Formats: sequence, structure tokens, C-alpha cells
Amino acid sequence: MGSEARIKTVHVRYFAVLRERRGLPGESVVTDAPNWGDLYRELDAIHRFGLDGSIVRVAVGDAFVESSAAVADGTTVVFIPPVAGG
Amino acid sequence: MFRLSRRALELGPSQRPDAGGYASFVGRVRGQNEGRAVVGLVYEAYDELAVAEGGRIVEEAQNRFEVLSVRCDHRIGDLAIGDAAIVVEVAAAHRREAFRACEFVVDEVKKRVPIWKRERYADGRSAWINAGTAHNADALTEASFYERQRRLPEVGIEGQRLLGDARILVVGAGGLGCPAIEFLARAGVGTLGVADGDDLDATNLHRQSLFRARDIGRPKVDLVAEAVAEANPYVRVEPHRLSVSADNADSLIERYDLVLDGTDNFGAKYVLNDRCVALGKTLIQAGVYRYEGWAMRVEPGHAGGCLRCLWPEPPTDVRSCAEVGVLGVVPGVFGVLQATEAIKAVLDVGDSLADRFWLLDLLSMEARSVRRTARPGCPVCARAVPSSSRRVSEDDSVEVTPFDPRLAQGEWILLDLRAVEPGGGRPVSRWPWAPAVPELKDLRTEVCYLAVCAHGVTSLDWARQARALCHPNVWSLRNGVTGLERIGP
Ligand SMILES: [Zn+2]
Repeated sequence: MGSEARIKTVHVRYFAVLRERRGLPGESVVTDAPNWGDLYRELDAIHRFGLDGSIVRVAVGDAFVESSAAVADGTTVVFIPPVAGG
Repeated sequence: MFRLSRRALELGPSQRPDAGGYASFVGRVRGQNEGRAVVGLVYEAYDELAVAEGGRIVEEAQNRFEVLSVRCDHRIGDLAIGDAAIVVEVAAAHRREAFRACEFVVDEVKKRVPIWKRERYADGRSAWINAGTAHNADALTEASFYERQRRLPEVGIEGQRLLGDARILVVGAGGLGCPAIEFLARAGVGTLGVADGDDLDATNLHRQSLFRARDIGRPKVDLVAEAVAEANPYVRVEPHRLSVSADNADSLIERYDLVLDGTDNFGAKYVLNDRCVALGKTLIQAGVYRYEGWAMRVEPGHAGGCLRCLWPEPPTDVRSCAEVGVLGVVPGVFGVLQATEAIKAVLDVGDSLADRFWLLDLLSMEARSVRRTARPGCPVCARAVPSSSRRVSEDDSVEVTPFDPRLAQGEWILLDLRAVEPGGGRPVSRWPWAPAVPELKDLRTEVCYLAVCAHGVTSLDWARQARALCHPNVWSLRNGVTGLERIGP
């Protein structure tokens, strides 16, 4: 078990500028990040979103959660940056 | 021949050897209208339509009367007092036919040609005259305008009245604001405040659906007022030519029941969020980015919280539409959504976005509704004034409408307060069969009292006093007898 147990698969959806920077509306990610904030930083390191994790809100299922909430295997997460255009 | 002209009109010389009669009419700008001093006016036309309809009228005059020639010129643009607004010239073999044709053309042009007149008054104000009703005025009534939506059980006569009484402020007449304003106006929102400090720019036109290419350079709020007057003559726009800031927000917001945020920057969105929550005004917000967007309702004091509950500080490093580009329909979709949410708030129907953040991606057509909760420690929500724009639940209210089902239950005594209303000694009509108004201390507890006055103000006051003296079954008829007349046959 040990570290094996911490490997999770999550379905990531990107909103607005994140989607644009990633070039994809979403993807499945295998990660050992303990919480959503760590997962965002992990992805940011690869894809260079250019947005600090502190202003990206995390939605899991149908509700906002804290970025410190634990990553749960098999869930869908949406990373939502603030958007003001009109 | 019918022409529109931006230059001064002149009478042409009549040089037809076969014309025995020659009649002309010149209509000039008057310095007075309905008691107000007019300093000038602006005529505006739908050019192609106006020329086509004017041409038909001239043709009809030629067929209907024995005339040799008919000419009509109409001024558009800015006119001063005394300037000729319309010139009609008819040449005929005989004078009688010339007079009749001349009168026919003037009358028909006034009735049928889509030309709008805005008078500018000595006190600096201006108003559209006959806007929206000048063309085919007989075919339009307020009841017919709203007929299709009044059929909805959620609207009805009562809902239409609520919309008519509503005062909604739209901040930003841009990609979100334009479609929102248009649908709110067509729904019959009686007073629409519109705040925008910009002049129309060419880059606005692909998404800002109230504007026309020929109006580039003109103040947007003026154009909104004109467009709304043409779309629905039964609602009113209050133009505010300014950009909303922390300095002017309160004085603007206070005058309205609900605020629709059509701005495109975080600075304005946070000012509106903070001040609406502090002043107890419902706020409908949205934002778009390329093909995606969000919408939500901020209901002060609601468990769903505010914009600062999601993002405590305005972000600084996020690019705007001007930099990244936007497809016109995307803010269009969200502006219409905001209007829908505003109408639902006024009618108090459906589920609200007060505790949700609603997202839509128009490329993938994926939609999401994410639940929001107020963030503990949000300094704005901590000082929230519960929303006053939400209709007070009827059970808590001292007011009833004529449609309240409770009026059909139990024993009610109708009290006509018009006789005791402060009326400055003028005679007041009242219902002779209503009993004399008792002293508050003499009210009975086992019956319900319905207090009625002319406008529902005196009766509301009186009912509140009675409630304060522990008479729970005292009610006031909202909007009084005047309100009954408005919904009557
Ligand atoms: Zn808040």
C-alpha cells in the first residue's frame, strides 16, 4: 500500500483563461497531490497558466471547496479563475 | 417626391404654366409645447423606411387628387425655434385639389413616416415626443404590448404591475448591458436607470445590440434612451452619463430596487458588489471570457454570500475582452440571462442564482451550477443590509394586494381612510357603505381590517400604527384605490 494508495485519477476541467492556456477544456490527470491547491500548482508547473493558485477557485461536484480540501479519487474538479469581461 | 434633408428647407418657385393653383405648407419648430419652453429639437429617422413611406404618401396624393406635382421635404438633425421642419408643395390645375392634397400629405407624414422628435427644453432637459407611437399609433395599446407575457401564470396582471413599478439600474451599456436593457424594457420594467460614461465606438458595434453604425461618437446613454423609447413607449430610461466609482455609487444605487452589473472590469464589479450589499440591493452579475462566462445573483444577507466571498480582492493580472477578443453573442447570452434573473427577482418566481455560480461554455455547451456559501469573515457580508428589493414575504407584510387569497377567508372589515387623509380641505370621495374609521384603541382582535386610502400610503401608515399597538390583523391595500383603478377594466 503506502505511496501506491495516494495515487488518484481526477477529471480536471479548465474555465476561461486556464482553458485557453492549456489549450484543452479538460483532461484526466493521475496525481499524488494531497489537496486541490497542490494539484493546481502541479499542473501550473507543467502548463504555465500564469495565474497564482490563490485566485483560482475550486469546484468539486456541484459546490465550491477550499483548495486545502483533500483530492478524492475519481472526482471531477473545475478550476475557476475570476473573469470580468462583458 | 419625398426627401429627407439635413439642411434648411426652402420653398421652391412654382414655375408650371399649367398650374392654376399652387398650395404650400411649412411646418416650423414652436417655442412652446404643453406649457414647456422649447429651445430646439432633434429629428431622427429610419432613413430608408422614412423615404419609402414618404414616397408612398406622395404617390397616394397624386392618385387621389387631381394634382400636377407633389413635393415633400422633411428636415432631420438639429433644428432651432422657427426652423422649417416640413415643407409640402402641391401644384394643381385648381386650388381646391391643391389645398386638399397638401393637407393630406402633411397629415399622413405625421402619422406614418417613422421620424422621431426630441424636444430640448429651456431647463436643460429633453424628451422624446410621440416616440414609438407616431407610427401606426392606433394599433398599439399598453395591454396589447404585454399580452403574450401576461398570459403566463407567473406574470399575470399582478406581475405586470410589479414589473411596471420596478426600478432597475443597469450599469454599463455594453455587451452585457445592451441585451439586458432591451429585454427588461420590452418586459415592461417601468424605470430603467442606465449608467455609462462612454461614447459609441466602432469596436462596440459587433456585440452591443442597441446601437447603430451611424451613431458612432454619440453618448451611449442617449442612444439607449432613444432605442428604448422606440422599442417600448411605456417604459422610461433615466440616463446617467458617468462611470460608476466608489464616489458616486451610493447616490446612484439608492434610487433603484435592483442593480444589473453590465460592466467589464473588476474595479466596477467590486464597487457594485460592496455597495449593493451595504445598501440592501439585489445585484445580478456576470462576466465573460471568449466563449465562456458566469452569472450569479448577490442577495445581501443571503447565505450564498457575495463576490468577495469567492475572490476577496479584485484580481489584477486577468486580461479583459479588449485584449483577448470576444464573440458578440457570448456577452449577449449572458446579458439576456441577467435580464431573466432580474425579472425573476422582481416577480419573485423560480430558483435564484443567489447561492449558485452558474457557468456556461458556449463552445462545448457544457453548463455547471456550483453552490456558493458566504465566506466566514467576509467584511462585506458582515455588514450586509438584508435585501430590500426582494418582495417582502406576504405573511410578514402589512400590505395585501387585491389578489391576496386571504381576503376570501374570514371576516374582513373594510375601512376607507380617504375621509381622514390629510387632503388640505379638498373634497374626498369615499365609499359611503364603509363604516366610520374607529380609533386604534377600539379595534377588535377577532376580525381582520383592510385599510384603504387613495394611494396606499396613509393606510400603510395607519396599519403599521395598529400593528405597533398589537393588532396583528390590520392590513393595508397596496397602492390604494388608485391601484384598483389601474388594474380595472
Ligand atoms: Zn461576502
